[in-house]
Amino acid sequence: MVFPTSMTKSARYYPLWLFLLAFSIRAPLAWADDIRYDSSISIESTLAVGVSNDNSDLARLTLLPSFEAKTRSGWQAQISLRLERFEGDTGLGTLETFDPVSKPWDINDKTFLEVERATLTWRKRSTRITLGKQTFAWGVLDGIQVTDRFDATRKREAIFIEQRPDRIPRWGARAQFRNSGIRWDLGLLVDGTGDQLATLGSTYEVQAPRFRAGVSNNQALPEIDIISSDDMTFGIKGTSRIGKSDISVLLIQGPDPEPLFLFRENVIEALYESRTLLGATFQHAEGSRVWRFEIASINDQSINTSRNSLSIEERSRWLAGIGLDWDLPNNTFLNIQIGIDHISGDQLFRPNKDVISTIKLQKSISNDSLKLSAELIGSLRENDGTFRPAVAWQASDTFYLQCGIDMVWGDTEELIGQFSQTDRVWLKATWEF
Amino acid sequence: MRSKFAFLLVFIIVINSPSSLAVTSTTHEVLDARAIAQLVADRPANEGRVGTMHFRLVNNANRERTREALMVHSDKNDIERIAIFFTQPSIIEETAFLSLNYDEDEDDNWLYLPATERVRRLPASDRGDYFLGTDLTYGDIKDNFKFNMSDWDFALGDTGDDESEQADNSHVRLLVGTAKSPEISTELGYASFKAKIDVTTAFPVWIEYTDVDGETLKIVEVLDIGLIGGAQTALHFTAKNLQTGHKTDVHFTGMRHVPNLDETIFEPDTLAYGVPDLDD
Repeated sequence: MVFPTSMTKSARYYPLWLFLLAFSIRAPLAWADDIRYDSSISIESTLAVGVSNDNSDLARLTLLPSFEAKTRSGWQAQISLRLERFEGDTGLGTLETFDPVSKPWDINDKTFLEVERATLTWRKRSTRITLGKQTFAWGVLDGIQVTDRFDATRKREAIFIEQRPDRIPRWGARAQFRNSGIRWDLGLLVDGTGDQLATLGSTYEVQAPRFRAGVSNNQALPEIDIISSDDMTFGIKGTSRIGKSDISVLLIQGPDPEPLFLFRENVIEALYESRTLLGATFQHAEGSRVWRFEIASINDQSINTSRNSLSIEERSRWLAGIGLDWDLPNNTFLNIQIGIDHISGDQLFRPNKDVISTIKLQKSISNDSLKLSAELIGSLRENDGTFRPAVAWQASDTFYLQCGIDMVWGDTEELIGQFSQTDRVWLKATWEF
Repeated sequence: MRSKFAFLLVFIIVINSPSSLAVTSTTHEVLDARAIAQLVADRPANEGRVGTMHFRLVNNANRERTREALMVHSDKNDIERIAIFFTQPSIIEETAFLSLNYDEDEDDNWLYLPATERVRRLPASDRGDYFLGTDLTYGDIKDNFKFNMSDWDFALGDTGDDESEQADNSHVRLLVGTAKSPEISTELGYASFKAKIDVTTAFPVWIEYTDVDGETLKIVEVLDIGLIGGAQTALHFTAKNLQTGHKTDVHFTGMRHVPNLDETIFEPDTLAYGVPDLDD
């Protein structure tokens, strides 16, 4: 199957114009309907203090205002913004990795404004069409990305966030509908935004050579020139429910949001090469347990190799993961997962096989107003990992307080151990109005 | 023999009554415990109803949290389906829960959390698990103010009312239930209950539960019921946990009978679409 995969830079602004055009045409018509408006604002204040050193100190304020208009005839328009200001070395991440149509506006070095989401949606029964800046949360595992590879993600704080992955909405179109007992989900993105990375010199700058084109962490990286992809991303997923099980099969074709590197005239170029992912997910409820399973195959995975010092080669890659949710007595919840990521061939900057495991234990007390959790994430082949205990307290209808500790161990050239100097204690306050 | 007679009498009355529920004073005198429990269990359910749920959760320090949600309920083809779409406050807005309950099988549950952007299949709920931070268990929600005939041994008790109260409450009987086995008690989270049943509506108006150790656990009071689509429906009730001091107050507004509910509301994936527009 062949899909259109490239368009010119100027054409990539079409989604924005189409969205505005559709909205402006629809909006006057909608006046005839009974329009309901809703607005909200979320304010998040995050503070962190480094345990090993003060590099992990962080003060960040995030404002997320959102506005929504909805008609009785099934139309809905939503726009939300992300305004962020920070102090400390963690930073707000790279801006160069965004497609120009999605790039946040840097008001100054420490304050960014981003269109977080902008969608125009039409809905009728089980059919929904969505145009605009949106995400595609596919997959059934938590934070282990096997088939969940449609979206670009924020990696400015690596894996030390509450919800992984932290998705970046991108411009595109989506159709969801039901046909012959199968639930279909189709997506087309025309936005070449890649993963947002930690900036060079910031707390969570990658240290492991595997993410630095083989360059050791005691050598400074030269200037990096980021080349956004012109290719579109296409995806299709079909899901069926059989008894206590949900089964889905999916295909994603388009640029991998994780960059590859090439040296060109003393400059490193970061590129986003296209690949085709075929995958399947399965989840099955069995009493107080739910089993989750994912598998994916990518036959044309581009990867950096050390051949000719630094090359990009296509290899075959497969990923698999299994997880268990277990609802234990006394409001206790256990989640255990293992994921495997295998790339064939030699001369890689990473091991052929990564094996990641996660264990999360959560207990709710005081009628869910207080939640205690502890998460262990480990790379089983490299013996590095992190332990993240946390407490969350819903103090009122509008105020939520969380605090926790991130403890990291391992060698600085390993997958998780590269952040072993970032132990921290953190506090996050959220107001929602 | 008396039980059979009472059941037959109740059956005839239910079938012939204009409201399907009116019970004569003669009936009050002859109904034994099991017949009353059966009367409650056989209380008609409507095929579909919709209303806005208002939760008020108050802890023992009088700190209050509120929730508002659209509740869509359907009881059709032996499957009870409940979809709850939270609309207030912002901290929980867009969260949605779907439960499909079967008579002979474990229930299917899904939850949509906006933070994860996914509809997640949940483990089958233990009937004794508490529902979304309230003082009601999943069993309470599923049973809908009925007492499963296979879970309990029934007896009649004394309401404790004085003579003048008895005259006023001649239509109220005290039904006492004891879990048939320790396993059922553990599963339900209750060892026994006492319930004041209004036999004219076949609805419990007051229930006191004990925990698995036999200690008084909580009191549920039904403050208002209404006839929605021919079925008696609780419109306002409270549940107070006497051991923690936490209280849940639930009342409904806009409760109405919607006989031909759009089936797609009960599809897991549409939880992510947000609150359905039922006026379509």
